[in-house]
Amino acid sequence: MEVEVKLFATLRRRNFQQGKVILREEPTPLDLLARLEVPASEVAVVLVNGRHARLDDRLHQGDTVAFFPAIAGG
Amino acid sequence: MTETREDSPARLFQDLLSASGDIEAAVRLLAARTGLPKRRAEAVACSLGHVPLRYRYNEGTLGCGGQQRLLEATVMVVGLGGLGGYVLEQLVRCGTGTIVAVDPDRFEATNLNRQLLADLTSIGLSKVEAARRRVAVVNDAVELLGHKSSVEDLSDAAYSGVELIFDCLDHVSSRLHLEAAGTRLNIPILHGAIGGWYGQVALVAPGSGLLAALYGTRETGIEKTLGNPPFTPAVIASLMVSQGIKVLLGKMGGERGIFFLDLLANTWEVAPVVRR
Repeated sequence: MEVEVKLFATLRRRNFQQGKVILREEPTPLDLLARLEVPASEVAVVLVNGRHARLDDRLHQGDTVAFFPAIAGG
Repeated sequence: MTETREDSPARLFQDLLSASGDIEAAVRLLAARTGLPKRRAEAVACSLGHVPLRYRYNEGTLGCGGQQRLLEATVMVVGLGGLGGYVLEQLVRCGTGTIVAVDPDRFEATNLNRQLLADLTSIGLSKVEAARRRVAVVNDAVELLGHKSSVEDLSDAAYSGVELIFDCLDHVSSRLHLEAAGTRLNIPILHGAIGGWYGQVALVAPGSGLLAALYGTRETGIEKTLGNPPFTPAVIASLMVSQGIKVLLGKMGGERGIFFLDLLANTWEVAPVVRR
């Protein structure tokens, strides 16, 4: 199945910022991060179709998944 | 004694304005004769449709009533560093009547790249004192109530009358402490955070637990490695103040969420604040 993925700020990789990713059936956001070689420890917010989600939630065909890092400076 | 129409500040202001034809002079005299703080005298002028010159370029956007409302408002700025310096500057120039400013630190050389109140004359000076000096030279109608204190050591009395808190802190644990205070005292928080090219802004409703959910058990974020260049705090602080003014003036619409700004890729994303 295929999902749309968006990575923000420091989570972006040289060869991937946003695009479609094909995964095995019933993947989770955690599986996506592993595929994109983004450490889960760097992710503070996960959105699936614009709603907050957990790293172990099940994804579905056509979902859009966005990952954001923690920002805390002032 | 009940105030009569004849000796009301509004009536006196009208008389003073008729005599001098000068809003600033009438405000000054009203304050001197009644003992009203200058911010209150300015609010009286605004209530009668006479906006002082220093707010003339606010008027088209905020309106006479909006300017009056801001002059009567009390807000708190917690943290007077990168975000806090710019937030304070804009609130003061907006004519926000009473500002409670909180920071335990003194300026040091590493603040110079980005903190508006840090300059060659303020190194070693307490941030609260630098804020007081800035307010005195930019807008002396604003009342600054300074607390050289960490948010952890701040008493509930310091929050008295505060309608909105600007979270300009740089430690996660302090932010969570502030969020708990906002919930306990039922005060909304305008949260801002920065790191490198990136920043976020969110309105934190009392009891929402938004910051606790956002940070989890983390102590720091991407600023630890990216630092904070000068332009990002200015942008995020401006967004915090524009949203804060909307809160104070009742102009917030349906825009609820965490704004993520990326100044490198020029993107702006909004995540909803409601957790699943």
